[in-house]
Amino acid sequence: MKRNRMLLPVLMAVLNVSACVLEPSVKVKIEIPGTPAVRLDAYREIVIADFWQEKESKDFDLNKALTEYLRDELEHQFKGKLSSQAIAWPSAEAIQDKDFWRQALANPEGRLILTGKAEFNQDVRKALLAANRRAIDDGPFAPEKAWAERKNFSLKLDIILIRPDSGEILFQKDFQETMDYENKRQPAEFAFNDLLQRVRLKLFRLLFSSEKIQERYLLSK
Amino acid sequence: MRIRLAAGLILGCVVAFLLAGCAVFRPTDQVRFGLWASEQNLWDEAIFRWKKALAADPKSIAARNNLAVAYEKKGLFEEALKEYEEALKLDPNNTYVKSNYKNCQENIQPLKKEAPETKNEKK
Repeated sequence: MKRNRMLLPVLMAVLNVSACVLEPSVKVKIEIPGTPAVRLDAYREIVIADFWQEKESKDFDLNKALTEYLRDELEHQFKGKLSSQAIAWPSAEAIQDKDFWRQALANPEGRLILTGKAEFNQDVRKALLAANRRAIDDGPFAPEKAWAERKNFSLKLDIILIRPDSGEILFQKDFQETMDYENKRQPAEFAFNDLLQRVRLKLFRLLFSSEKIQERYLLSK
Repeated sequence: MRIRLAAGLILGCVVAFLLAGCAVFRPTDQVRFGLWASEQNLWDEAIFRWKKALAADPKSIAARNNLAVAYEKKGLFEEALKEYEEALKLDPNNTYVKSNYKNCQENIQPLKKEAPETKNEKK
């Protein structure tokens, strides 16, 4: 009985220590610095140029809203100078035209052009809610609403960073965002702002990548 | 009485010996010292220890793998990839190294796709 009493702590100590000694790996969570898609700190100025639009809206100046928004938001992150410039796009294919971008700025050294293609659309979407056909046929006097309407806005942005001294594309990424509003009179400007905020989050994560926590294994032997 | 005392003494020695071998609390070699340093967030010290371990034993998979993790922590991704690849050459089936290597590659690859011709030279 006494022997058993003595053996127990020895056994526990052996098990405890062997568990710690024999563990071949340690799972750790480490903060890994993000790698930005483009080293923006290598440039002294970003020129935000007009975006190509397939069809321009008469009541909403997309380029003006886009340029102002990007300029305001980039100001918080980019240490260099920011400016904007109107560019007369000959066609959508000009994006790939190196000569076109080489001639776009008078003094291209140390500058980057931020531009791309933009498309902003809005429409009203209807959905049938009632399962009962009678409710639809009764028209406006139906006991409950048969149809639901939503104002839908969509924004497609193809954002590009170009080196004007060589004309080459340093960064290109497509973004597509949509949002539905119950308010059928939702102003396009407000919806545009909401959609741009989503794009900004994704774009800035790529351009100004911050630290991320990831798991790794460290080995002890 | 004497026998009991001797047994107790032996038992004490055995427990002390086993505890002395415990890796977590008392790092006894460079790899373990590096592990301890990384736990204290002293990554430069950990790198120094794992480099020393590699100098002593260039075939140490643990030292290479840990050094790669430390490089990742410091943002030195190319160096990290190189160390992972060396470790995998030594042990291609090591699941820990493979997992670390895959995660490291995933961090770098999307950026390479998005900016294939990114030039980082300062003007």
